[in-house]
Amino acid sequence: MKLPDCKKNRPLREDTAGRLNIGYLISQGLKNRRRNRSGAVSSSAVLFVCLLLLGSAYLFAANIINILDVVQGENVIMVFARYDASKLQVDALGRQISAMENVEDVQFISKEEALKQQLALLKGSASAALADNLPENPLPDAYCVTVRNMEAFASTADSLKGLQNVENIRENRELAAQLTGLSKTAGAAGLGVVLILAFGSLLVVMNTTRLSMQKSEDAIKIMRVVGSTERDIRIPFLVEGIANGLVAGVLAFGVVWGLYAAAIAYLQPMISVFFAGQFLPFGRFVLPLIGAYLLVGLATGVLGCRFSVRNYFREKGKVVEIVP
Amino acid sequence: MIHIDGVSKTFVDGDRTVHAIQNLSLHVKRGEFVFVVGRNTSGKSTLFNLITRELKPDDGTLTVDGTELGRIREKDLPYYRRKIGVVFQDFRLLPNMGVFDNVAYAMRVIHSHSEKEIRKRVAYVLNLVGLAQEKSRASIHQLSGGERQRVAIARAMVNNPKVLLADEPTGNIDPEMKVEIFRLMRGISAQQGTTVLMVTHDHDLVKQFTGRVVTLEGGKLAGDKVYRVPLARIPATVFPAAAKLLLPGDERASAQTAGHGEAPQSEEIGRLNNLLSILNNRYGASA
Ligand SMILES: Nc1ncnc2c1ncn2[C@@H]1O[C@H](COP(=O)(O)OP(=O)(O)O)[C@@H](O)[C@H]1O
Ligand SMILES: [Mg+2]
Repeated sequence: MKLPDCKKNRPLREDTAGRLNIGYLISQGLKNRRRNRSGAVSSSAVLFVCLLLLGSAYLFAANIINILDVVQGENVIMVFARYDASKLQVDALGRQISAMENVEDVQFISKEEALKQQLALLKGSASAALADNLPENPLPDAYCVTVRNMEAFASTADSLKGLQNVENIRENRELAAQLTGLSKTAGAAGLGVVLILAFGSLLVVMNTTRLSMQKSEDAIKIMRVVGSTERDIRIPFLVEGIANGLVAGVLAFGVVWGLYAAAIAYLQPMISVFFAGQFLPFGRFVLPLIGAYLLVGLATGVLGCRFSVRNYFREKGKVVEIVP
Repeated sequence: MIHIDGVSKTFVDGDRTVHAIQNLSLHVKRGEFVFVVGRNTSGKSTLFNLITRELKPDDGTLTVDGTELGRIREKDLPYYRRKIGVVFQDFRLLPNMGVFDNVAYAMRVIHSHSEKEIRKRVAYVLNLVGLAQEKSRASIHQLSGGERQRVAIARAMVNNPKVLLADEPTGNIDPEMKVEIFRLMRGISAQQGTTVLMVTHDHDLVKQFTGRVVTLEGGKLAGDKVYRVPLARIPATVFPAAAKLLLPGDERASAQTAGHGEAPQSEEIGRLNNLLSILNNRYGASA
């Protein structure tokens, strides 16, 4: 206690004075939460949706960036021979490519090999069925050309395209540009939605806190009268807000995890057909996600509660009069 | 213990100005018991709100237990309030908690006491207010008005305040229970040495007790008397002279104007002094 105190007739232990009974205040907060169930459900739900979108946007962006890295780092151009080119013509093409100035390395990929590779990416029975039913190999012979100087990449690609017996080439500049555009749009839209939802969550948390404070009005008055500090009066409501935030965080984490696992299972084979890139493993997202969810959950809980408590005290005045 | 000097408090309510407390000075000693009486809107509750520093005076100073209220910093206010127990007319118990938890609540929300300490202290104050041990498990709605007010008094006393303020504690209580609450408040003051201020409208009950009665009228001090014998027990018609002696100044005057003779003779005073000690022996129990 900060004020002088007379020891006479004082059965209470002085040394505990002023030490905050945090455990009790926390339990009060959880009790308030149970009493304010609809508030708990609505704040957790809105926050959950917000966190879910936030997490999905993050995972999506991280994967796009990863694929972009792979794609952009590729100093490789696939040159596909014409379907009707003879073995000799294809060999000649290979020598022509090797002779080119900016070519570091040339690797021949026969159409049989290519088919084998593609089939291997599909799952067992599907690939067998496909292999059996193909009338003939639909893939062309190809050369995998490694470019020496990336700055001359474009001109090399153009000259490769101009060679005889070349059906087409595949280089990923265009794809990279498209992916960049896509990730930017998705990122901006995602951020916008997340911001709106975060704001919404804040409002819902504030409203929930307010409801809870109204339900606890008598308790607040008693706390003030017996000499609780304003900080201590806030604690139960903070606990309630934080608990709601954490529930939303845990749920969102679980759901994002599940969705991501499903995405890998269903999308990976399709994606692998086009890119060397793979889905990033979920493990590397666990810590950042938990961190972000804790942060957002706590921040909404704390901020929403703070604003609400401040408004409450401002409205009701700091005064709790003796007359009702 | 409580020093109130030249305190005024004015409320401006729209275009209406209410002088709730006007230049009031009042001093209450440590351990003293004071009845505060007065009509509605005479400023009794405002006086209490000034003592708890829920309200700041426009003028004058208040000092409680050596602390001058004007000098308390906002953040130290809660610590000051721990010196004061407050009892309300409407009990203000928390309905979702039982008797024990309601009383313990006041301890739990400010300190970190062990459960053992809490149990001991709550049992002590429940006993102090005359609630049987078994009642401590009861829920609030199982209790009568009188019992509820006892719980509220126990809660106000559980942190061992230096000052107990009770604003019409008998206002919501059955008439037959009122006197019990009066006795209890007096007993607490006597037994615990707590300084008690009790607002009440029950004049007839006040008259059954001895002690100090402060009267407010329109925010001003209209009377401040110490009764050594309960007013109600001075049968003015039988002992007119005794009444005149025993009563504080102005009531003596009014007893005189009521027509029971002139100022007492000195021989009469000797007899009346005897009478006084007899009366005090007989009725002094509540003093
Ligand atoms: N917060 C307030 N705002 C405006 N006027 C008030 C306020 N509190 C009390 N008053 C006025 O002050 C006067 C005294 O009130 P109060 O102290 O409650 O009287 P009592 O308790 O003796 O009935 C009344 O006229 C009341 O209307
Ligand atoms: Mg009043």
